[in-house]
Amino acid sequence: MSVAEIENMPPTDFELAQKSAAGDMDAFEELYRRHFRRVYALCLRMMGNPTEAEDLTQEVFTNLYKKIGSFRGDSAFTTWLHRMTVNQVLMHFRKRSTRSERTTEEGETPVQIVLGTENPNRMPIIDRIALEKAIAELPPGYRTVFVLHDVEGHEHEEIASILGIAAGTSKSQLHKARLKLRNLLKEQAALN
Amino acid sequence: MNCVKTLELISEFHAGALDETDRVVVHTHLLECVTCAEVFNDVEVIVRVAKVTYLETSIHFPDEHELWRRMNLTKA
Ligand SMILES: [Zn+2]
Repeated sequence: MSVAEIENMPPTDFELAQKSAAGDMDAFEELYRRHFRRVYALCLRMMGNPTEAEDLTQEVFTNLYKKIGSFRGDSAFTTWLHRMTVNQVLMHFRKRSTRSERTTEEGETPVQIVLGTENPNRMPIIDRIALEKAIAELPPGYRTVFVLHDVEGHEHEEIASILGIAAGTSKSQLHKARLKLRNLLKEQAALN
Repeated sequence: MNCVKTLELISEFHAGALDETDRVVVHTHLLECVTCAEVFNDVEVIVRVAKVTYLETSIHFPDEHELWRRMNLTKA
């Protein structure tokens, strides 16, 4: 690669982060443009609501701006930002659950299996929209693991490290989330 | 093996993460028990549909310029 080619290469996320930390607003705007869609998508998957996802996306970037100086480049920027986004969403859930008694942190309500025989109808044919609606009704703890594993495709070990839990906990949360979703989908279908 | 134990292991069975003994036992139970087989099929469907929920192509993104303008950035 020639010197000219290297000079024309777009700056890396790390370079942009360093410039942002030094107060270069254009560099931070470039970081925002690169990562906005990914952050918004994750917020939407976790919140299930576009307005809340938008607010949260703003919060994530505001927080990112404050903390950009602490990015040392030892992991990929996307990984670092992903983790920050998940944490921001979880903090939001926590704030919300202290305000409303309805939402429980981990969804301690035991999952009861709706047995096929109790329900004359098989589980309805589910589509994307029905599932998205049901995901939004999952308790936050289940929802987080389900979105990270089944929607975004992360491994349990990664999820465990993002959330600071054991991989076994991630596995059991995922399993409970799926069973809970099954019940929610059946309830939804019964209402329609 | 009873239904309760099978239902506990369904996600692990689905992930192919069970050891051979448990795998065979769950598999056999699923062949014999309609109720558990139904739950397993439903889990399979949920996992399959989850892969296509919120795809970037199906998300309606807000205006990123507008969002940028509304942002109030200050250093800590
Ligand atoms: Zn059974």
